[in-house]
Amino acid sequence: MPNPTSPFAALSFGAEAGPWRVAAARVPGPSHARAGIECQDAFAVVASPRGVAAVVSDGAGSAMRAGPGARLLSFATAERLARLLDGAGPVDAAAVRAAVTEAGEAWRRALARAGASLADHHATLVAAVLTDRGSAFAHVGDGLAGLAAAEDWPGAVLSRPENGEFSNETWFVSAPHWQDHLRVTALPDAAPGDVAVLVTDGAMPFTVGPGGAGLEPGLLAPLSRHAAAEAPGQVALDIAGTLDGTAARRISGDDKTLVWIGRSHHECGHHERSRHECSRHE
Amino acid sequence: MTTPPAVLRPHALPDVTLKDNRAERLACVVVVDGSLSMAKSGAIHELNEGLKIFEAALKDDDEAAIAVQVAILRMGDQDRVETLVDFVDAVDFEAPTVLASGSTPLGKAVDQAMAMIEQQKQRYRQHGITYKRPWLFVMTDGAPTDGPVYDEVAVRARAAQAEGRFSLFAVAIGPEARLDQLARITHRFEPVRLIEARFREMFVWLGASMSSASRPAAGQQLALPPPTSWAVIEV
Repeated sequence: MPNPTSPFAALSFGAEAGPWRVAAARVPGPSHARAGIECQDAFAVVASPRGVAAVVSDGAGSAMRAGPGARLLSFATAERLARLLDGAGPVDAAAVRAAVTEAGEAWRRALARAGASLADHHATLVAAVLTDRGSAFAHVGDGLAGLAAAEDWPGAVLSRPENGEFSNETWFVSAPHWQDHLRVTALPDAAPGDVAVLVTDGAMPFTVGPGGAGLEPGLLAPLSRHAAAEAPGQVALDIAGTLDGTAARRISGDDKTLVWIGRSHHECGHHERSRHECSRHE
Repeated sequence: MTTPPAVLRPHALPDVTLKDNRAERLACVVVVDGSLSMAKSGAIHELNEGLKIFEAALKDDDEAAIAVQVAILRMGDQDRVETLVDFVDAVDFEAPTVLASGSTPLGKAVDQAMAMIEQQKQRYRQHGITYKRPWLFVMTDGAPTDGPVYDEVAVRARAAQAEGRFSLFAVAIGPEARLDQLARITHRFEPVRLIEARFREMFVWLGASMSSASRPAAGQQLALPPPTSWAVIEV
């Protein structure tokens, strides 16, 4: 299994593996925090020099065990997707669809074996697998995933939310026929300078670009600069600080999760802060 | 000598400006009674004052002012339905002055309101704008004067609500208003009777409820404040 893996129920997580950097955080919405309700978002990340598998999940507020449902789903899916990183085959849409389907069905079976109600564990899913042998997003329900090359934020490839007719109705992996709502977006092979971001519904309004096109430069550009210069663990904490800040709270009262993934321009994996340590950069 | 590990502390990301790029809307059509009986009872003045309060309540809420879109229909004259305000962002909404004369074509008014809601949803979809379930707020002090039309529209209105196409709230004004008739067009929310002439309290409630409903979904069922300050629910 590739390492490092974000710990179960972590609130923030940063990692560096080969050319990859990952920083992720989740925070409860202000109303959940006031009521003492746990954050019902979850994320899971597996990063290795060969690529990154990342998942965010939003547990439905109306579900009794939304938080545990989202955490279990995100970990089960990230672990299954991580097998693609070490495999020899192409990481194409078919492979990612098969892996997410297998993970989702296994999660559903595990809940059933435990006598748990699927409806009590309603959770969405936004996943990404990024490798040099192919990349893809997988998506059920709301939230957003985006991939931008060379800081082309307006031109980012997006996996958009799928809601019901109304914006507060969405699809869940725990729902019947969930595979009909599993959308897989094939992406170009990962390249130096690529930045991917996964967010749950609460962070989407300030992550998606103006008019719903691309990614928001006012967030992604400074975040990516910061992530290139600072330790991933610090970046993850700073993401949490922003998600929990006044501006973010004013925009959305929901739980918020953001996973940032960057691929260095430097194949050795050294980033801006450590460039002087690498003779290949001289 | 070893260097102690750096202590990581959470800060906000430097230089980040968060913008709300979500374009989520909540459409609300208010059908007001402009029939002659509203003038005879003096209720028309209270209604007009209430609409001004509604305007102020929406504009005072930053989120509602942007998210809510309002349209006002008046029924009156000779079974006529008049669009006093077509859909407009709440921030630009100006309360109209409703005149009172003529009849109460409730069936035609609800029919037109339902058509406006569907057209507005179509516009939202064409422009990629997400939206919450629209609201249709109907108030009258009498009974429908377009009986056959009302009979047909009432069936469609209930079916549309059962399909979740919009939420309808009906308010009876004064003792002559027929709650039993209003109950024919409601599905989830029972019609209520306005206490005396508490339009002011009713529109304060409507503004607050629209503000609450316009908030981004947090996965919770929408909980509206009880209308007890201005209405009674008769059983």
